[in-house]
Amino acid sequence: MRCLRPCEGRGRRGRNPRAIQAALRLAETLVAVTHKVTLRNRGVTFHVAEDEPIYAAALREGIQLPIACNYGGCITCAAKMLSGKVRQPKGTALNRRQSQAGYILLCVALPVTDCEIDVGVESHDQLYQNPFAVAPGARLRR
Amino acid sequence: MSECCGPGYASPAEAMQAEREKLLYTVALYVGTGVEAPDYLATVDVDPDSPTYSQVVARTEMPQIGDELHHSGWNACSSCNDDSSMKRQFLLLPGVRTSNINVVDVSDAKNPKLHKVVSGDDIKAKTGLSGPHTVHCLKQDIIISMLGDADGNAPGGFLHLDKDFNIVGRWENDITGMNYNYDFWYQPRHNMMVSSEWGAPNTFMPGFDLEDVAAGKYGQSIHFWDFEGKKIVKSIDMGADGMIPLEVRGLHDPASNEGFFAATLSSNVFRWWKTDDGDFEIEKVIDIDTIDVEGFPVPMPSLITDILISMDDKYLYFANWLHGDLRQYDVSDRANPKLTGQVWIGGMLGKAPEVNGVKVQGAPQMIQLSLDGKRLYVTTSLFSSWDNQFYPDMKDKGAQMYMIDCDTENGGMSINPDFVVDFGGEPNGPSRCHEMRYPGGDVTSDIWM
Ligand code: FES
Repeated sequence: MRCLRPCEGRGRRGRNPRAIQAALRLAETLVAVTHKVTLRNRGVTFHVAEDEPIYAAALREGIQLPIACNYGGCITCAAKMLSGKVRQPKGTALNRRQSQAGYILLCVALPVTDCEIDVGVESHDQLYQNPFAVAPGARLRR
Repeated sequence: MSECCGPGYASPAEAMQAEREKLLYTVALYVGTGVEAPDYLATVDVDPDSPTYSQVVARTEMPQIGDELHHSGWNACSSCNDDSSMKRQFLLLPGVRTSNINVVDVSDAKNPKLHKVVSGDDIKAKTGLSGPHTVHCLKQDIIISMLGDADGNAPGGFLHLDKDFNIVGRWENDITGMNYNYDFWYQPRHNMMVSSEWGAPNTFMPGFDLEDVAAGKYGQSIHFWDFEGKKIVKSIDMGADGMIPLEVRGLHDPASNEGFFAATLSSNVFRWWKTDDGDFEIEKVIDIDTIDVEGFPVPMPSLITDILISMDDKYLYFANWLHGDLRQYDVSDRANPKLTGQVWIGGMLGKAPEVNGVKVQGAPQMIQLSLDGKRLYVTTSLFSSWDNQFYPDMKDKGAQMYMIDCDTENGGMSINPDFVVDFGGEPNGPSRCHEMRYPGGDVTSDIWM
């Protein structure tokens, strides 16, 4: 009978499912385009694939950053970009002022280049403003 | 408490005779504080004869980080008082940001335990809804207002869970006319339900922006429902007078078919009622003026963020979260509320920056009244991103809980000098406290049929 799945080939040389999965994972890392992401205020740097959100990559490195909705709609994961470029295909939570101040949403941000970022609530100094304390002209449309 | 029967009390009058509350539950949050830990349910000792009076005596941590616990509700309330098979055993704690619904077992009232989590991802997949808010039980079932669709856009809808917290589906048959969703209150005896409008999760979660108000991204309508038919029968657009209607309360007497709600941004209180011919009407009964703050180019509204009615339906209380005061009105004459009490706690006008030896972060926000009407508990946090806009120090210093003594005979309020719970001193770091519940039911949880 033909073996349809690796796990059905028990005992046959070269069909060990764990070894196959490990090899596939290794191959994926080798072919995936990655960029260096530095969390400046945490003093760490790690590699992030172009299709992996920076939040998820940090968590994989054992770094718990702020998170909530995990879909780009709520601003909890906002971080300040110091240099580099990201794609945020699903992010809606930032208005133009916040984006211009350099904020990105780590739950949906995919690195396009190497990036340097300040993370956590301590990077939120320019994220929020009291709307009654700001002249209407100074506010920008989302 | 009735001995032969189900949960709660046979009537509002019986509830008022209950023994004094000894414990109080409040949600406590780490979202947006810099402490990367899950939110939790804090159990607070409110028994003045206890050595741990005015302290947090238990902390029940949620399993996932980032929920933003907000409001809560019971699996059963006094509406099941005639059903001995029902028990008020589970408190449902929805996470607005994750859409998870955490179910906590309070069989041991002093030590609540996590029982189950209805996953937000499951809710989105099965109902296309997100952003759970108000929880009300409904005989054997539970309905929860949901503020968005699965992508966080308006208008949301209502989630139906069975008594074992399985997802049944969407509760409503028709939401035509509803632009946004928020709070709701129902009264089966009059076949009515009233629901209000905040905004889409994707609009309010990132923070409050006046440009969003100008763009029509916040609600200004109130909806009246055919409760049995699960459909809206009348929507009233209140325009500039009714911007962002939030908490909706009905009178507790099940024979009555009226209540109040506050339009938060417009800072007006409306009375609503069902007419003899089955129509619904509203009228504005309280209007709080905006205040010109030095250095602020835009006049600041009071922002009425929570409102409740005493169990005897005599007093209305509400919180002005930006101005910083709590008010008591005698509403015996429903159409003509009379201001009878006022206290100041924190707020942006700087009238009471320190209360009971603690520097207040925020201002009066969620309120909960004792069943006998004599003690009003208040917490100072609204919503993590809005807190961070208006009261940015709260994320480092935590929110507070106070108690107000209320004169139920002649009217009047005074801050109790012996009670303050400072969530700035929590063992894992400062947290934000929000909605409160008593183990046996309270004036905002229970409905009589
Ligand atoms: S966690 Fe909500 S926007 Fe990223």
